[in-house]
Amino acid sequence: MRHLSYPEIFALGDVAGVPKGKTAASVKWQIPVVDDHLVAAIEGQEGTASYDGYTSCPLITRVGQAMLIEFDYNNNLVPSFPGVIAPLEELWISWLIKTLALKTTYNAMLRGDA
Amino acid sequence: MQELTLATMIAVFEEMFGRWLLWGLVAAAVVITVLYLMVLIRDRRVSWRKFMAAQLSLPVGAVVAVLFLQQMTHSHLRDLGGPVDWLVLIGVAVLGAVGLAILVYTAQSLLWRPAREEVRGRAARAVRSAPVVREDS
Repeated sequence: MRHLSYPEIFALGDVAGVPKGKTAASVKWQIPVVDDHLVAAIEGQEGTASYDGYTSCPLITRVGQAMLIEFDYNNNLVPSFPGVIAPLEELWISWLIKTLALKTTYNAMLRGDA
Repeated sequence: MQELTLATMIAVFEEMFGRWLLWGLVAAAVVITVLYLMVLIRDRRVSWRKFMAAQLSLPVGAVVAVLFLQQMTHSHLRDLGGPVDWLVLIGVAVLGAVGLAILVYTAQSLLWRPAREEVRGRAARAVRSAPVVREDS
């Protein structure tokens, strides 16, 4: 998120030098971290937030079903709805989230609303 | 989702439906609910005749809601993969059923006056509960 050689430079999304997480879901997780560090830097302090590499990779297994797989840098599964939506199962609810909620969330994010 | 606030939900729903359709639907739901409460207060009772028709619309509302969601998401009943999917299906069906039942009950109450026997029954109850006035007083 923050450039190692040029601390006044912050990056988000695809241009950020992260090994994984070139997704909109990652950006959603990266924004609060950059926000924290940027505001702290302006105030002459150090931010405390960190990014664990979270990314979301909904795998469409067929029209009507998907697997809502979310993981971090260490490939640990980090489900948003633990105990409710099993990440490794092909589910209709994952398809509904993928088709109805995710794109709309990211579009709203581009407007700064989500 | 990292932050799922009410503002986020509204922004996402606005993106999903479009601003005018979303708030139009919300307004329609509020208006129908208010009208439903108004007819209940106006009639001061649940009309079991209208309630019966509303009950008959329950399965229709349930099926229509599920079919609508499936149509919008290009999915089918065969796509249900686990218990949580069945819970979602039941939830959608219940919402559709209750929504249509309230709509049907309210529409009947607004379109048709209370049936004659209901009016007669109400009048009879009113007479029974009226204070007794002695003729010689």
